[in-house]
Amino acid sequence: MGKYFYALTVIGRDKPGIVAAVSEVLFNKGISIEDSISTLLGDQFTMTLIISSDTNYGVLELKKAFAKARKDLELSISLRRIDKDEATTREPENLYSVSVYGTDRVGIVYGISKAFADNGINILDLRTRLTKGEPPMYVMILDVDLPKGMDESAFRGILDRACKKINVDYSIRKVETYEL
Amino acid sequence: MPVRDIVIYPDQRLKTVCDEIRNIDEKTLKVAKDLLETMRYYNHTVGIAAPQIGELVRIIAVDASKNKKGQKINHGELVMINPEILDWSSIIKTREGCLSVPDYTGNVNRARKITVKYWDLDGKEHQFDTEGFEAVVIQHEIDHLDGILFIDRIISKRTDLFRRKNYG
Repeated sequence: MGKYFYALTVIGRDKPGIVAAVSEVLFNKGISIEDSISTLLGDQFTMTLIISSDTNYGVLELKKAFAKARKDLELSISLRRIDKDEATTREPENLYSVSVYGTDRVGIVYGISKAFADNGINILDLRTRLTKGEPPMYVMILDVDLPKGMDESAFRGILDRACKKINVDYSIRKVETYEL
Repeated sequence: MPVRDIVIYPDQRLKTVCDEIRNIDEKTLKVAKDLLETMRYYNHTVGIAAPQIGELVRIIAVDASKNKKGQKINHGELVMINPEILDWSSIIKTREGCLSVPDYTGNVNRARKITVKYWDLDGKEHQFDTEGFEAVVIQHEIDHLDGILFIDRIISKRTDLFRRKNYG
């Protein structure tokens, strides 16, 4: 019997009970949470999940199952079907953690991500934060996977150029996992 | 058979506080030998603790020199009986994985510098200071002796970026 996979996103004003309400619907349908991340952005609680089921539910049928949670907690919910191979994460080969920060201005995320995209550098994780204070400072922290054959100095060169253009600072750190 | 099977979580032996070694007897020497053999067998492994081979006693084997990160500061291949951290300072964040918890890694805070005390296989007491990679390895392995997995020490990804001191 094959498994059926879906990508689910939930967002709504933060209050206690959102995770419980969403996971209750999944539990009652016999649906597993394969992978998920949830966090508070501003005062919006957001959940993104890869879920799987032995039952081939229709997308509309699943969406309907969330009707009560959606209404009670005023949530926006979207759902789509995905293939099995989209449900597993590829191991990064050359993982770096990057911090980019500077005075807030429009285009920091675009400037950096465009430089990465142009050079085949894959963003695996990205968080940004606008700090309080005067002037406000913009901070982004990324996990990126370098393409095969790109060394650290080439990567630094790409970041140097991109950061100079938008007048921000950066630092990089190779992420190595120790198997102990 | 000197190379032993690795105990994998959820085996509850990994959540057990291990017994202190009171006498270095035949049994202790056998566990130490098997630990070393098992560590050598897993090429990428630079440390292993007795509970990982199913022995609930306070022995670890480490060899930070096996990894390029440990080239500068290491004390070579060591068997440490009743290891104990006497002092520590400074914090580093490492991304750790564990033979006993396959397919999972996480960011963990460790002390950058430690002073560690232990007994060798001849019952002689030793003490040394170390830092960086070797210090991390020793801390990870000593945690195993107390039933602590790296998962128990995972730090919040959110606070990495959002930590803010409150001056109010």
